[in-house]
Amino acid sequence: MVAFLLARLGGGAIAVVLLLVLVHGLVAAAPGDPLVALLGPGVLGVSEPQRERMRSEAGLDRPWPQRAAAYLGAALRGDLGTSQRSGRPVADELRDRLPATAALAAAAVTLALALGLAAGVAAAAFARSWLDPLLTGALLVGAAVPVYWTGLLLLYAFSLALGWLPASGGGSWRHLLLPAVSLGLASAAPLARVTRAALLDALAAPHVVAARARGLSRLRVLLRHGLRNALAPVVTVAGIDLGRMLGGVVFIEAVFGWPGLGRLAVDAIVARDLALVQGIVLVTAVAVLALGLLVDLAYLRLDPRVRYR
Amino acid sequence: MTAGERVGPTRRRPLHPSGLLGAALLGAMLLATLLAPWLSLRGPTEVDLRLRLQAPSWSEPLGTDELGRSTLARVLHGGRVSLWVAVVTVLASAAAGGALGTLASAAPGRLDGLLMRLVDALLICPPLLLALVIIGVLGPGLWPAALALAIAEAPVFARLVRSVILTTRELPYVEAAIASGARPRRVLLRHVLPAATGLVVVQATLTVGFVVVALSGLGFLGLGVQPPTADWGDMLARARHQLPAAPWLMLGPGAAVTAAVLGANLLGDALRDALADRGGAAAGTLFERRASSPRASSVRRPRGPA
Repeated sequence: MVAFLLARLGGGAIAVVLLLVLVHGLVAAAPGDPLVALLGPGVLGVSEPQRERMRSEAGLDRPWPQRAAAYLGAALRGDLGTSQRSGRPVADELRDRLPATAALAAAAVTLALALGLAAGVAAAAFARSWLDPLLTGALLVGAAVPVYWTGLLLLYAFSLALGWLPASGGGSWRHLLLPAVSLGLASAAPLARVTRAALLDALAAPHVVAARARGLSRLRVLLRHGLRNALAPVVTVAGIDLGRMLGGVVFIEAVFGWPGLGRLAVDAIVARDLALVQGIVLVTAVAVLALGLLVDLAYLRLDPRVRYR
Repeated sequence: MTAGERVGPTRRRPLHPSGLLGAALLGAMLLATLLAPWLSLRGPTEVDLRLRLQAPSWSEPLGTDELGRSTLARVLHGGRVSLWVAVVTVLASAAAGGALGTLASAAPGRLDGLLMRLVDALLICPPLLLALVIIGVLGPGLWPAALALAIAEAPVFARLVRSVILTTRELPYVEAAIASGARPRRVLLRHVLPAATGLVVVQATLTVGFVVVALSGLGFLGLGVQPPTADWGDMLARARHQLPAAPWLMLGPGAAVTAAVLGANLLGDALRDALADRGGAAAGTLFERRASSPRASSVRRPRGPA
């Protein structure tokens, strides 16, 4: 178990380092003067010898492998460079924005799990009734609605037409509600589809028939004997989905003006603030890996047959 | 060969009706966007300030925007960008990723290992974020956005094609082909790669949905197609600015994205089921739809009686 965890952490660390090197290389290959990319267009007004000095001070005259190694070394010490847009350390910018996105993601995940499981169980419970095609159809369409459209529709309905919730900004739970619901709904539909399929599989097992034959109530059989065994694949999909949800954050934060990492990423790209972009990639990759590890650990609890080595 | 095993060619099963529905939906949309100049009475960039922000009516079923342009015309013309470019993007991504996967499978172990490590590293970055990074380097625009998405999705195809090749080339019929003296190139092209086509087609179809959403999303963020060209994402961004006054503006483009994704998902799901029915080499298990961790498959079941 410990060996498994260490191996996973080691593999993850290698993947993150490789990703950072790749992104660093991509950024280094960007067209245009790297000094401008680093310090902003202001340096164009400086004389050429002075620019040459700034270049060697920033280490831009060294070959790329050296620069990449220097970036990695500094990143290990927590120094991710300076944001060209604000002049502040990238690490500080990330620290400012991370809590907002974490709160949004946590709320959305909770909602997606609750809604997705409930809808999936309902769809499986009515699997042989006239409700089934209706529910599965609704879930199919629901899974196809792009998250930014959900956001716009909710924004119009609940803050512009009804005036119940603020349309834009962050800071309070009232601001959090609409973005979290939009993101949660987007992930709930695929989750419900998997729950339904896994639950129907689990309900076909002989022990479920036996439980029914012993006279246990339908609901008890559905939840204790069916859902308990269906959770493992659901958790897998939830893990994959959450990774994808991190992408949707970019859109939802733009719709609702939520001050998180997603908006920071878009602002950074518009301003070509590439040090900041690299920092966001690092944070996201670590989050995705942590999520994968959580999913693996959840497996241990959900399916005692699973052994990690 | 044991009793239960399949002998001889399997019969091709018909697609589930939902798949046909998806194909029809997607096909109709692709066709409608092609025929846009003949279907809509007004041009997508035709400004008429007397017709500003008109609510839906018989002559303008989806209303008009802040410059009096016809939303229906813009949705139809926008599909040429949002839908066709997405399809082309996925084709390019599948071709590039497939080539990379083929190369890796044929490369010596060390190089193969390195390539797959790089692919794994790319897979821990959400594709949309990877696309954003590439746009950060290339600058905003439709083709940078499409190129970025093609690159962001390519690792999935690389992994898929490589794993199919690695499992297929151990199969008896491939050994037979090699034994009968077929040259490596012929073995690869005629005997091994065809085994991957089904899976690649399924993965590509399912990817179309994601790319449509992402491409329009990039347009929504202002990083994709630049005005005045119509694009579903850009239309949604404009609709947001007109929101209190003209809520109908967001209905057309949003519904178009949804319908395109629905069509691609229906078709992709049905194709996958049909492939699994045909017993396409463990079709179900080969799909690692962007696993959340680079080595997600380290789960081991106990051997022996459980």
